[in-house]
Amino acid sequence: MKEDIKILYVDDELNNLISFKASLRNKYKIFLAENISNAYEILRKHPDIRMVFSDQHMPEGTGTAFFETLRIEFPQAIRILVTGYTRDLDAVVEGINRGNVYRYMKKPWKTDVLLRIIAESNQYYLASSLLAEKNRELEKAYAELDKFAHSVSHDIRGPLAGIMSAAQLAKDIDNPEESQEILTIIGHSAERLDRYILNVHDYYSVRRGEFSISEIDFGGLSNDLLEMYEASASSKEVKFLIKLNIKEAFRSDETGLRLILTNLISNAFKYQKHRGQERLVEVIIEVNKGIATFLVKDTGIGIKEHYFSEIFNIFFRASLDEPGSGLGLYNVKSMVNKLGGSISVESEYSVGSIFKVELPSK
Amino acid sequence: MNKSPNIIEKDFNMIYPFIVIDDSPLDCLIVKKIISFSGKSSDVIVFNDAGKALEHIRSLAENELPPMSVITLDIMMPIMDGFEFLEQFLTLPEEVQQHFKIIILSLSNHPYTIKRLQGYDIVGAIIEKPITIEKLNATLTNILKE
Repeated sequence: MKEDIKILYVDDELNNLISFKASLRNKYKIFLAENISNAYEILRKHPDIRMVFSDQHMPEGTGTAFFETLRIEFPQAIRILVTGYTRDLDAVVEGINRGNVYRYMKKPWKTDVLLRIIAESNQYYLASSLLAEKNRELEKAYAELDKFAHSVSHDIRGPLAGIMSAAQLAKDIDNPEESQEILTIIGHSAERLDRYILNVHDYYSVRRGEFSISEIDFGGLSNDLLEMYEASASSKEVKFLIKLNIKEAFRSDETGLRLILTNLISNAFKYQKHRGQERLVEVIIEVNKGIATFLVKDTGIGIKEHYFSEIFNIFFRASLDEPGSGLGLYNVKSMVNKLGGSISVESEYSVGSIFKVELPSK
Repeated sequence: MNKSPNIIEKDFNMIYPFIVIDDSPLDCLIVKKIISFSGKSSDVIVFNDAGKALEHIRSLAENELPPMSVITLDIMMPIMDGFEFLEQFLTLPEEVQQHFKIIILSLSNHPYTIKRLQGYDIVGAIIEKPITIEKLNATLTNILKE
């Protein structure tokens, strides 16, 4: 608790400063300033100071005037005026009405009054910083929505336009071989659209982030994965291996874990090199000391180093060789973050990539 | 020599080599099919990467340019988008540019995109996807008649 709440008190009378600190130092982190310029120095060093108490009468000027300028540079700090003179009341009222003063405290103060003022101010601080935080989240969500609306025309209308063109073309074709080809195009377009919609669905379930934590059965999970990718592995002539090294129980959200692994494994299959070379997708899962480490290795086309920082961004695509929505790795990273873990990538262009995910047990 | 109606008829039935630029392999396949069915193409070369298409055009310019070739260009593509391709195309010598007609083939009918495209004289026409044989034929007749 002590390091959480930082409070600054500005007063030209040393005795007041000392008694302020004496009554609070066990509960809060207290900063003292003998004058206004000193107060600014402290605030610039500790911009997370939550409350500023100030005396009204100081040689450099009044506390209310100090608050008027303080509010511009540090709007989030809660401002409390301290004075012993009843004739100051007009200045206090003026300060409160102008929004520069949150509370007024009479000098000399009683400790219980001081503590109550701090508790109330802290609540006010938390409410307004929560609001600011929500505002930032909202702005981010709007920016994503904007990108989403933009991608809709490309990723949803694209396959649809393909289907429409192909259907029109099919009407004019008599040759059965040609119509087969057109039907294949229609099928692929529909699959592309379906994949995109599944990705969007994942995107929203990651965002909602409702987890159900349970112990993970890695044996069952790896059997499911082997079964799921059996067809891809044989049709693409890729060797698929899963190695487990589980030293202890591990708890996490199984749906989230599957989202992470299936996206990484699908990518590993998708971005393989051309046929004729040894092609491999390898998954290594280790659990040790409360941490699960997942390695997904491939002998794929690799990723150029200057894309490393961008591949997890929403709608970013580094390769044109395969269709993609630009949502997969973004979803993976969001999920890893929500589960409190980290993800990194090592890759050599045209040799292969290794994605590493570390997750703490819940 | 005066142009007789006979010669105009002959011009109209001419066939041209096509270059298709689209990041989606499926879209390329569809455009390629539609172009083949239009009966106006001698051959169709497809590029998923606009940069590679530019390389191809430069190499054509060094060897032998066809009398007239048609480029269909998608706009929204990763890495090099349609606008960047147009900018790069404009840096080619004018006598090379004259051998090509560019048709924009895009999903976007956003007024801003259309307006920006109209700023390029080399853009002969804009077709909104989905492409059909009728749309393509009408456009080709229009831009190749002069």
